[in-house]
Order: sequence, then structure tokens, then C-alpha cells
Amino acid sequence: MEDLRTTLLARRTFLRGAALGGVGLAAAAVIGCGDDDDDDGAGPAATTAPLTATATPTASTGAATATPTAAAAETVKTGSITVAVQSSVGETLDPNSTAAIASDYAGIFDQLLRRDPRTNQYVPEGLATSWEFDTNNQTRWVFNLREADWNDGTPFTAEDVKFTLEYITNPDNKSRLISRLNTVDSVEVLDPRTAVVVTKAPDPILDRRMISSWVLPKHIYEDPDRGAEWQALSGKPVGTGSYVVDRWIQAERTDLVASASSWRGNKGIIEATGANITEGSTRASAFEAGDVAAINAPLLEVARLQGLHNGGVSAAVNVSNAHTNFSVEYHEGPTSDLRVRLALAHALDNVTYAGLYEGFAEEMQGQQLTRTDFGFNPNVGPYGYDPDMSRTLLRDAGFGNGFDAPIGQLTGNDPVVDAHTLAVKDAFDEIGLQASIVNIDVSTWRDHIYGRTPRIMIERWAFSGIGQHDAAFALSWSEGSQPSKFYANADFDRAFNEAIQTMDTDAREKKFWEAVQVMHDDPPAVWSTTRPSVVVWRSDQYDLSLWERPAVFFDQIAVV
Amino acid sequence: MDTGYIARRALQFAVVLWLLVTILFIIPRLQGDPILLLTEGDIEPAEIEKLRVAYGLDRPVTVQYLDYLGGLATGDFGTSIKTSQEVSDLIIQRIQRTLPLVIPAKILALVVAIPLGTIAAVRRGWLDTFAVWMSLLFQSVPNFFVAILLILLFGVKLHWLPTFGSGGLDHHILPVAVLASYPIARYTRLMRAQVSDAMHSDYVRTARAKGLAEVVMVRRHVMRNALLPIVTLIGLDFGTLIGGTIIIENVFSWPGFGTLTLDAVLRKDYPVIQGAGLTIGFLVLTGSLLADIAYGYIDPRIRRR
Repeated sequence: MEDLRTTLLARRTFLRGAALGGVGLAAAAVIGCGDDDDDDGAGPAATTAPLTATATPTASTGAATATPTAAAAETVKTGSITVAVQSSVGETLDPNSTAAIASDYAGIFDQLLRRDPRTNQYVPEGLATSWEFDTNNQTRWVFNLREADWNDGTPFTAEDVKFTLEYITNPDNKSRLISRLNTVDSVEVLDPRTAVVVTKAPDPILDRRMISSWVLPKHIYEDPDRGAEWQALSGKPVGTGSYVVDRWIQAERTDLVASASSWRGNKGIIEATGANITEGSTRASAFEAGDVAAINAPLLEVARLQGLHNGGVSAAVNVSNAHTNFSVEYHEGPTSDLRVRLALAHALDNVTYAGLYEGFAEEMQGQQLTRTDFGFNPNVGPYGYDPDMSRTLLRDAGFGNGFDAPIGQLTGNDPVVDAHTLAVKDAFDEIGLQASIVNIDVSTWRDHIYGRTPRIMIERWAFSGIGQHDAAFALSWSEGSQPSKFYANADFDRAFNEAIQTMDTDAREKKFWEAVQVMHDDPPAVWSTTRPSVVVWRSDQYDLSLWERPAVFFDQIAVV
Repeated sequence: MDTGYIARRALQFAVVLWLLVTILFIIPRLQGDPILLLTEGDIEPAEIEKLRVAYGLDRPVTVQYLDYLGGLATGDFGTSIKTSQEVSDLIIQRIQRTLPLVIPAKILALVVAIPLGTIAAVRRGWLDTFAVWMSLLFQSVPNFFVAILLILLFGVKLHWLPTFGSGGLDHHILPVAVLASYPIARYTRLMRAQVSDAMHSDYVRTARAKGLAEVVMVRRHVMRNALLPIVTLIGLDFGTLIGGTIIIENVFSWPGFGTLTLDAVLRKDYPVIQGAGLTIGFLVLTGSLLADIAYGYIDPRIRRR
């Protein structure tokens, strides 16, 4: 055991030193002499060292161009951070193992591009420096790639991009991301720095799809001595990210150290630990005890946590398009009548319900999209709380005495969500319905959604296309051309299908607006509030940049 | 030992194990399609079908069942859908992480409960009152709640112990204490009741009449008889204790068998759910079988039934 610890210490010390190569012997010495045990998640080891400058990209969609400029060396503090994660990283280091929360792999791997939630633009802060589609052949997208190395020293090339996309789209490889990239037909390599992705049909959001997938090292997967299993489970995955895995304990923790060969660099975090803590109360306790510096906080704990550590705590909403709505039976039963669906919409006091979420939620704007989604229609607003109008609409529809309205909700909710559902039940009762709450298992719900079994319940569910804040994803659940979908409105289908084939960004947005307006006038659901996930962190120690899940984009975290 | 008795017990063991295997095969499949759970987002039916083929879920259920039974016979529990690891490897790895909690918890429970139950029954007084109330408390309060309270007290307020994880010896203290709390309560109650009964038995009266010292009498005559049901429970409870780690490991973020099982259930990782369920069931059945055999050995009346 002692030998192992010595080995780990030596390796870690070496990597620390390597990460700061060129930074200065003095800084490396200070860090190298630091306490090896970062398990306690104590505050950053505040040393001062110049940081290698990172690119400052400019962004645009469709034909983005990066102009990395080498900023003058600046003085930054370096340190370590421990954050609580609830992720797949703990179980496997294979980023294809999950279709959700994939951003947890951000430290180790790179995407072709990233999405900046402040602008909703897809920016060349990944392995692509620019990309554009061929205006003559709109199924061809050209991605220009940057010079970068895998952390084992092998150069990154377009062959890796080709391998990655082919690997993910091959069902034999069982990648969970297959559905995200289902429009990819083939990939060509023009030269080591240029990859051409050919889609089955014009796909205006191919660039957005690329945020789903982490670029994989072809040479590792094709190495008979290593391969996919080694990459996933050896604890030494090869990536191009800002960090390399120093120690990985399956289902418990992932210790990262800054990569000496990373093209991206970091803003001061040279050691980062993701501790797998799935239980909300334990995360809150660990944060309160100072064992971790950032957590996804249980909503009811946020206010209390903000008062800890002498006020050096901040909270922010993870940028997401998750929301709560109540989808209703569109084809059968009372809710097949438009007047009934509108009655339900006017019955909800969404402003009040948003208040349940400790000030982090907002009322949905009468549409399935949130303000952060591309395609959000600013001309469409909330239906408005008007129970009298609801009763009138129900009477007009012949349901003056109401009807049975079981509200299905998923089990295992945050108490705030349960309170939200209860409030909606009361609202439906108030307009004369006989509402009840039915708790259902998530897989039963999923079968219900996809399997098109008869809908007898009003359900609460949330769409969360992580990293893909685009109407093409959010509205596709409702498009009626597929047998698995449930909303059948010809006007909506026409506008939606035109939108997803329109390559021009502005024109596509207008088409989505049209689809959103149709859906607002003939809603298949009652939209209620956004559904916030709140990250709480030690702002007296760290500055977290605004990415979708800021606590795990370690390269964007600065030491205060 | 009567070989017929052991054979009957072994046959019962095999039948129950087969039923368990069958139930574990059926139940997860009643709860929905794992492919839909794995591929979040917009997925077309054709792609769902491709994945179903890749996972072998397109085959008739009976074929899957027979394949599963055949695999079990050769020690093949299948491959985790989530991590692509062999389930048997995964279970062995994670049980190795859980045993350092379960075994000390078991020992702690016995070390505390047997003397406490005995002394409470023999001496009565405040210790008896304490034992009764302590037993009532730990049998009534869910152990995950006890876990949260202990984390708040020793991790957050006093900073004596870590709040999560499995690093050093100090990480073991709270989860072991919580896992031991229910068995302590249960064994203490049982031991107290057994000793109380024994203290009023004829053979104890005879021992007293012969002038045997109280301590010797309790140790030689009372405890020996009173321990019989405890011996049975030790066997039966081992599997239960492993199963009990499902919640406790989750609260303490302990990467053991419990978190593996819970995670598999939440992600509908069929092979792991089946493997974990089978492991718990096997341990309970084995404990039960061994207890039956031991009991039959200790008490000849049992094996004559």
C-alpha cells in the first residue's frame, strides 16, 4: 500500500511539474511540495504562476472561424478543486456510455466545438477551428481541425474524427449517442487537418450535433492491446482534453491533473477531482463541511448553503432547457378538444409555481422552448392565469362538470417538484376537474412516450437536450410523421419539416417561430415553468465560467 | 448427520434458487424497454431495432431465458449494458469493496448485542431500560435517516469524520456504525428475551440449587441455549446485510455492491440487476441452508422432522 501511495505521489508530482512546464521552476517547486492528499477538497493551493495563453475565438454559426490570438503571459493563481458529480464518469470513462450529462467528460476529451450558453453560438473552442457546409452540396460539411496531440503524444488528425463518427453510428458499438448523430452518412478525410462529414440529407444542425460526441483516439481503439475496453476501464484514457486522469476509482472518484500537452490549457486549476455523490443530502453535507467546493444542490438547500462559509458561496442555474409541462392526450378523451386543452393552460398559475423553485425558475412562455433555445419565439407569450376563462371553456366543450384527470408524475422527485404537481392538481380541481396524482416509474413513462400506448393521463415531463438547445431537438418529440410521436398537426409538421431542412439560420429560425405559433394555438401540452438545476460553489475560492454545467468544465474555472 | 436431511435441504435450495433466477429474469422485463432508457433523445424506430439486435433483445424471451440459464451454468452472468464489463467481474470487484463494511458491522453487532442483551436480562435496572429503548429506536428509525444524522453530527458539525467516500479507515466508521445499528437492536432484543426465558427455566433453577456461581451459570447454561436463535440469524442476516448496503452505500457514496445494484436498477442494466439479485438471493439461501444444517446438528429434534 505504501508503495502504491509512493507511486501515485511520484506520478502526480511529475504530472504537476509537467503541467507547469515552462511556467517556472519556482512555481513547480511550490506545487510539487504541496500536500498530495487533495481528498479533503480544501481550498486551492494558492500559488502564483504564469499560465500558458489560450485561444480567444470568435464565434458565428454556419461558417465559424477561429482566430486564436496568443495573449501575453499573465499572472494567474493555480490550485486544485474537488466537485461533487452525479455522473457516468464514475462508472466508465467511455463517453459513449451515456446520452446525457456528457459534459462531465469535458476535462478529459474534446468535442469538435463547444456551445457558449451566453450567446447560444457554437464556438471553435473544440478541435475544429472552423466549419462550413458546401453551399452547392448542402449535405457536405467541411471541418477544419486544429493542431493538437493526444495526451500520449500521438498527433490528433482528421482520421480520428472519421473514426469517432463511424464508431458512434455503428450500432454494433452500442454507443448511446447513436440517436444524436443519426443524420451522418459518411466521413471523408481530405487531409490530416480537414474532415468532410456527409449527411443523408441537408442537416442545418450538424454542427450542433457535434457537441454530443467526444472525439475518440483511433489509434487506441484499433490497438489490439488496448481498444475500447482499455480506454473505458483502465483508468488511463487517452484524450485531447485539458486534463489527464491521474487516478480513477470506479463509482467513487476521478482525479485529474493538468495535461502537459493540452492545446487548450486551463485557467488555473491544475488538479481537479470529481467525487461521485449521488445523494443530495450528502452533497449538501460535503459542501457544508468543506469537503467539496461545488455541488448540484437540492433546491430546498440552496438558500441555506448560500449562507455558509462567511458568505463566500454563490449559486447559479445550470444552463439548460429543462422544463415542466403537462402533456395531454391529443387524440382521444376530453383533452382531444382544443377548448379543454386551453382551459387547462389558463388554469395554471405559473408565476406562483415558479416561486416554488427558490427564485431560480421562470414561467414558460406558452411554448415548448425556453429562452435559451434556438427557435424560441419571442412573439408568443404565456396563456395567462384565468380560471374563470377555464371554466367557461370547459362548459363550452361540454365538460362543465369536469372529468377524471389523473396526473402522472415520475417517482423520485425533488420535493419542490412534488409541490409543483400538487399545486397543479389543486388548480385543476379548482376549475371543476376531478384531478389525482399517479406516481409512475421512469421506464414506464418512457415506454409510454415512445410506444404510443393509449394516453389516459396528463403527464408531467421535461425535455432536456443537454448541449443541444435547438428547436430541432426540442420540437421533434411532437412532429407527427413518425409513428412514435403523438402530436399530429399538419401545419406544425409542415413548418417543422421545412425548418429542419433550411440551411439558412435566419430563415430556419423564422420557420421554427411558425411551428411554435401553431403549437401555441393548438397545444399538445400545458407548459408550466422552467426546471432549474442549481450549482452552488465556493465563490470566495473559485470563479466558475458560465458553461452548461460550469462545475465540470474545469478548464474554465479560475482560482480567486 | 442424516444425509437425507441435508439432501432435502439442498433440493429446496436448488428449487428456490431456480425460482429466484426466473423471477429476476422476468421482473426487469416487465418494467420497460432498456433501449429506450439508454438512448435519450430523438431516436427513430429503426435505430431502436438495430440497438435491440446489438443487445440480443430482439430474440424471443424464451430464447433469452434459456441463454441466460445456460450462461449461469457456466458462470457467465452476462455483460453490463452500462460499462460493458463482465457482470461476474463487476460483482466480485464491488463486493470486495462492501465486505469491509459488512463484516465489521456484523462483528460489531454481535460484540455489542450479545453482552448487552445478556446483561440487560440478568441485571435488569437502567441497563435493561437502555437496551429496550435503544432496540426500539434503531429498529424503528430507518437507517438511511440515522446515516444522514450521523453525517451531520460527525462530518459537518464536529469535523471528526469524512462526509463521503471510501478512502481511509476513518471513512469506514459511520457506514459500519449505521449498518450495525439495526442488527444490534435486533440481536439485543432477541438475546435479552432468550436469556430472560432461560433464567426462569428448570435447568437454571437446578444449577442455582447446586450452588453454581451466577456468572458461570449464565455463561455455561443460559448463554449456550440463548445463542441458538442468534446463530440461525447470523446465517440468515448476512445476505440481508449485503442487501441493506444498497441504501447506505448510496448515502455515503461508497463504491460497493450496494451502489452498483442501485445504479443498475435506475439505469435498467438487466444483466447487473440479475447478477446482483442472484448474489443477494444466493447469500441468503446459502446462509439459510447452513443455518438449517447447523441447527439440525445442534438440535437433533430438527432433523427428525
